Amino acid sequence: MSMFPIASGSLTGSGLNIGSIPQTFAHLQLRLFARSTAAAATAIGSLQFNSDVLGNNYNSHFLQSDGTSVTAGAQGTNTYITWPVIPAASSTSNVYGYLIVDIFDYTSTTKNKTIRVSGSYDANGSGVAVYKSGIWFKTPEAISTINLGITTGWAANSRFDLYGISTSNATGA
Amino acid sequence: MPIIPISGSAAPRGALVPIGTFVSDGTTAGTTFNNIPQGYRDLMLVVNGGATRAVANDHMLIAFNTNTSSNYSYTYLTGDGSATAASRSSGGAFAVMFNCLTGLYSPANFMGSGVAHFPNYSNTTTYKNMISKCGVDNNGSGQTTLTTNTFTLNTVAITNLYCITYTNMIPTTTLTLYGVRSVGQ
Repeated sequence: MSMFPIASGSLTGSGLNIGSIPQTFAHLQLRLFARSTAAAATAIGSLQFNSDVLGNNYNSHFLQSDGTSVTAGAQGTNTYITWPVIPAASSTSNVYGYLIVDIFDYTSTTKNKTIRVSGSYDANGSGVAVYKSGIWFKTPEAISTINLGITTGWAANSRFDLYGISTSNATGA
Repeated sequence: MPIIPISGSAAPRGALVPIGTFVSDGTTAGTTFNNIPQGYRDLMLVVNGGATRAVANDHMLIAFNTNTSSNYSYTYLTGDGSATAASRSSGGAFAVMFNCLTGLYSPANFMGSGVAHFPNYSNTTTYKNMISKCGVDNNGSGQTTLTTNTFTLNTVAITNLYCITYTNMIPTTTLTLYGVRSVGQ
């Protein structure tokens, strides 16, 4: 199993659509290094696929530590999956969150799509560590676009990297 | 240890590029990855092994740029097979990969393992993170831990990683550092 870079870039504005995803890998891994401009200590964002932004076709569960207690929960059926919190404008300066999102069997046309997210942030006195699983259960279709949203907007220096995970000798960008 | 330079454009284009590796002979507590190339997006450290401290689960301590000032903080999520727990600390001298090593009380030949990610390690405008996913299973006990760490003294690029345990590492313990390249790197 090997990992190959597909796409990379700065995060600007309040969202991101990663389109034209090659259909030649077994899995995808999205890495976000990000902070929000929202006037709060933390902010959340949304994850959707193939611009399916209206259907109640998503759900997720999580296990989370805030440094003092552990919480388990579920988002419930929704029009998106929330990804774990990242630091925002009133958080410690220069602190960014880091999320690793695994998207499995993304080219399948017979399976609903499962994801796994790990990460979050530590801001020297506050912070979160999160494991999350989610599912997109629209009538199965291959994922060709990933849609990301963020509360208010991305702070400067936020960025993403998308990788393909291969079981063969495919070539990355 | 020898450091492998950044791959040329004609080299195989996988994202994970080995930078350096260390295999313990049991006589030392740590090692340093020096002269880390600055041309990758992230770094990834893979640990597999144990330590000689009188515990069942042990940890790898990491100093960025050999800086052990009290400017590391962490938040973690952990489970021991029957209960979950959370913890946070500030003012530490190291970032910590919690529960990536077995200890003296672990059965013979049992090893812990862990992966630590260092995103955007070469930029000079943001504090440096380390996020680790680690586990030890001792066939009847164990610990799995996700930890977020931040180093808040300065925003300098990471050029070396000092990795050390409380006591010696046991023989065959391995640490392997990878560069994670992005598009165009």
